[in-house]
Amino acid sequence: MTLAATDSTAAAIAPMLRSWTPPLAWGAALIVAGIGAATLIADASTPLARVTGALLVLLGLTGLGWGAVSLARGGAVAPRVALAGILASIVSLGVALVATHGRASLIGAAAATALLLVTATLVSAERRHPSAPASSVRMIPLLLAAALVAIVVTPALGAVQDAALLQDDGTVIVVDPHQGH
Amino acid sequence: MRTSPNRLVATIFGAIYVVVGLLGFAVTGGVGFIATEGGLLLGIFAVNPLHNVAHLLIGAALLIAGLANVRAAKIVNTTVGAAYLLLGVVGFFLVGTAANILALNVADHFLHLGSAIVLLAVGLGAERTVRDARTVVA
Repeated sequence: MTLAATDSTAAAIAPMLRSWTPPLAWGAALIVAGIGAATLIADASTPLARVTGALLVLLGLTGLGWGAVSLARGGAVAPRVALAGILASIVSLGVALVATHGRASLIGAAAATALLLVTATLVSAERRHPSAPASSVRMIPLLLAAALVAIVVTPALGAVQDAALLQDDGTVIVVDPHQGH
Repeated sequence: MRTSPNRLVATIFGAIYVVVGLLGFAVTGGVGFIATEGGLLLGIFAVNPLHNVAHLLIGAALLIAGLANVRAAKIVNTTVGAAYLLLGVVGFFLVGTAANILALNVADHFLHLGSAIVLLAVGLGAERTVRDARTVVA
């Protein structure tokens, strides 16, 4: 394959990959915010864990906003800031796991980290090879991204919820859904 | 309508949610209006009557907007998508509690998250010139 052919292939793939960045960022941000909220409200959380939880909620909400703005603008906005936010999110997830003595969901943290790393790769690629903003989102890649993110995020958030309800003896708090009826 | 992603998505999703809302009543006979454990639609999606009404209203809004014009479809897609994204996180912390008045289960979360991403992404990312054109005219 010639260099020109490689470039044209990359140019054709770029808009499709660009369609994936916001959904992946949203998926990661949802898990990050979920872990943050769980760490923040857990009875056994230490002050450090609560501060980390608040930071994760803030980073998660910022990630949701960044994805929306990037989608509306047709490309990743403020890529350097976004990469810094991704790095801060990964470090904060690690701190949350340590500060909660493993109570924060390991599955949730792993899924969020994986999504954050893929998002970082796409943002870096877009930063290295800037192109004109896409005129419109591509539907097929978008549908694929939505399905993939929902498949990864749903069980991850379920694991985050279970971790939030974990007690000292390893059992999970069971709330009677019929309470009050 | 065929050339507008927003109108197409709003109309298709609207029609699906209206059908889902109507079918839901077939499995929620005897289920309390805000019962935390509902009937199973298609054997997997938990719904109660309030959840059915929510599906009907959301479906109607999407369907009407999709059939109306691009601007309405964009606004409704974005609004419903954002609401579903919020429900995607909050919903998990409601499961198993008395506050789960929509009788949400894991299958519901999956559907809501998928819908949220598609609706929000199309609402924000497709047909950006609609908003820009109005700004220029104004």
